Amino acid sequence: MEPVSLAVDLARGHASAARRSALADDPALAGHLVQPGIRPPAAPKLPTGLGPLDGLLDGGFPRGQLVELVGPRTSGRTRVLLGTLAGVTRRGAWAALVDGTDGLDPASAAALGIPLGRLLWVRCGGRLTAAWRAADVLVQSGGFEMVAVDLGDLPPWTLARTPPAVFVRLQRAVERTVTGLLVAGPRRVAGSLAAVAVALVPRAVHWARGGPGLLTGVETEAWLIRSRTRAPGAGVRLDWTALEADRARPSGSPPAAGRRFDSRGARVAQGAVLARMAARAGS
Amino acid sequence: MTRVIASPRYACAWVPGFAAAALVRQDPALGGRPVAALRGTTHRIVVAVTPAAAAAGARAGMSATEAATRVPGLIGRIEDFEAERAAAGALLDAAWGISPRVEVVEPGSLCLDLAGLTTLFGEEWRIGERLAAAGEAVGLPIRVGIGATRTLARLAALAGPGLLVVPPGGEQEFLAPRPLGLLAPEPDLALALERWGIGTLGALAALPTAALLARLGPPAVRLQALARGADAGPFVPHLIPEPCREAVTLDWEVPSLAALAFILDRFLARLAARLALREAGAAALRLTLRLADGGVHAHRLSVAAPLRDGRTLGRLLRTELEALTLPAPVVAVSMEAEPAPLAPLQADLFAPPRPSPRELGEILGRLAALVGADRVGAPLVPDTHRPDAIAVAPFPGGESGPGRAAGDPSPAASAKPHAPVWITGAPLVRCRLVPPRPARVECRAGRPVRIEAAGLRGTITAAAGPWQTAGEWWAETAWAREEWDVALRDGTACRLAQDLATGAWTVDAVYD
Repeated sequence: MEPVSLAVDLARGHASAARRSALADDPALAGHLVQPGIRPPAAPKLPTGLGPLDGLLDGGFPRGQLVELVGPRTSGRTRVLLGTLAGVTRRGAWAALVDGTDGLDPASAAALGIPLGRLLWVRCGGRLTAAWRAADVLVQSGGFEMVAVDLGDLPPWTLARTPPAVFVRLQRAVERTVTGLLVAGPRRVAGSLAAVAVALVPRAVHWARGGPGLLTGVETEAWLIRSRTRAPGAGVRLDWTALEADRARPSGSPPAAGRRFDSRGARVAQGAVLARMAARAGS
Repeated sequence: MTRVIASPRYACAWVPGFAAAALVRQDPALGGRPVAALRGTTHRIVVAVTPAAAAAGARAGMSATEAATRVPGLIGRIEDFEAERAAAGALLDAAWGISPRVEVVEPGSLCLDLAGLTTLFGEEWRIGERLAAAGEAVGLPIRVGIGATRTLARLAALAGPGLLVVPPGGEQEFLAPRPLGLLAPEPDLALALERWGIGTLGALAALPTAALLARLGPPAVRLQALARGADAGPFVPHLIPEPCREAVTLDWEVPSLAALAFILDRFLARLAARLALREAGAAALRLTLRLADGGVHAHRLSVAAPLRDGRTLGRLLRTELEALTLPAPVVAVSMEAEPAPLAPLQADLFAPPRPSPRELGEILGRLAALVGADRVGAPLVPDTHRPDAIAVAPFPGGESGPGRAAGDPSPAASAKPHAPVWITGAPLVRCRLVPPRPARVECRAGRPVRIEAAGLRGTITAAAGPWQTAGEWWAETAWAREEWDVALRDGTACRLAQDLATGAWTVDAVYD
């Protein structure tokens, strides 16, 4: 018996039905047979943690491809980015954030449930070239399940200076890997090299009624503007609710070095903040 | 029950022509060739020769001219104390890799206490082979002798071809025929003994001690004790850890770092071998360049995870030095590795695959070279409300719960996730503007109504606040401010802050 050559024949679909049946009956070979036309299951996607958006993306951002997430300020772009990173890191994997403008707020990331010890934060201080080179190093290393590049609000003329070869190199490096490469910025930069592109469009900002008030949320629309697997043009509505992490410190946690007062000068009780927020939720 | 006390056993590691061997170690092109280490400026004296030069007739103490006459093709190099110090450290590393009790006899000669090592390494000749192999790994040709005393071990190393073990009970048989010159007696004493016809250690050992003392004095008695294999003093172990350092003084001036690459690569290979003997990795590399104008350039490369791979360290070092320009040519180079225990390589069966510590160290090193070492790491929630506070921990941090990085004792970091208090949906997050953007804010009735800042300008359609914050009032870095959450006409929601001390407005963050 020549198990190897027969298995190869089977994979190519050239084996006769009789030989294929004989091989399938052999318990020593059955586990190694490759059926023609059946591909191994693809790696799971990287969910954003937002149901409507994951539905739009058929489960999340794809791995092994360059993905773009674009949107202006207050469109929820950073929230989607950090939500995806939270999903990756909470599974125990490592993720990397190449922060083009040093904009990451660790408290916000922690509030979203990101285990900060598993997130590699590379602060580039506005240097776009360094950001692309750092992303290249991280993608080539293959040790991070997700590499995110946050371009912050770098001006368009700066983004336009990126040579297209950068994205060719990044795309080549990330394909055939299980790493997800997500580029988030105010506008698209990778052109046709991006397999998926999602645009976020802010629609409304919501404020709590009465008193000094609180920013409570933003309504945004997410549009699939590029996809290699489905027709672009679909969109979903996202309803965001804002709550600053440090204004809702859980009871029992010791105070930090600074002191926080409300508009009347009295110290804000944490329980009062929570009660106020819960009342607003009920109304 | 009787307890059997094993008789002591010692090994001696001896590097023939140590000063010359140190030169050859730093220049592999000299390997196998007759080399003499010279001292002096006008009248140069040979201080050490390699075995190849010794076999051709060169000896220490000769003038350079005489040695060159006796040995055609002899290569003379001025002795390099930096290289000798590095070689001595490497020899100690080789010895410490075998035994924790090592005595430094002289530069290039060590004694090792072998008590209990046979249960670890096997028979004594295996220990000797291991010691010779360790010497080979660090670039030193070591001759090894093993015997019941340190003197016997040293004589065995001097007399043997490479490895010689004097078995228990065979001491007299080994010593008797050996020439007296092995003990390097004083010239007067050697002449007197020669006149007496005493040419071997056995003949000297057989002389009556009292008569020897009466005629030639205490030095002759001490020499006789050595000839009988006795030790001159107690074993004094060397306990001070030696730096893992390689150095060389260049014979020529090297104008650029690129030209130094081959020297740095050789240093790294040597350091990697020494770190392997220490079962450690390099947590940092310290490169010191002495320049022709008398200046010194020092550079320290921190490695995120201790590494022992010379090639990886070389890549990191080259990346680090890419942009470095020197004001003058280099005349001497030294590189020191800071040893640190290597991280365990056991992977978690149930965790996603991750880079090995070696790979991670290289990745972090390359990133640090790109953006700066202080800008790479795991984010930390700073233990302060200060708006511009940034904290970074070494990556990877601990596997603690969400929102907390490794070793972070801060209350803020230990806070639980805020998910339970979310109202509906998912919260927006704050995206900081670094540095905060100065803004001109127009207020009416104490509330901001219009803002003008770089990239952010327009009418404010909604504002929430103010929230007053203050901190560090006990220090010069005290701060106090009022914060507003505002929405602009274009839909941007951002955080405005007014410094209560100066009245200046800034845009600190954008909600995104």
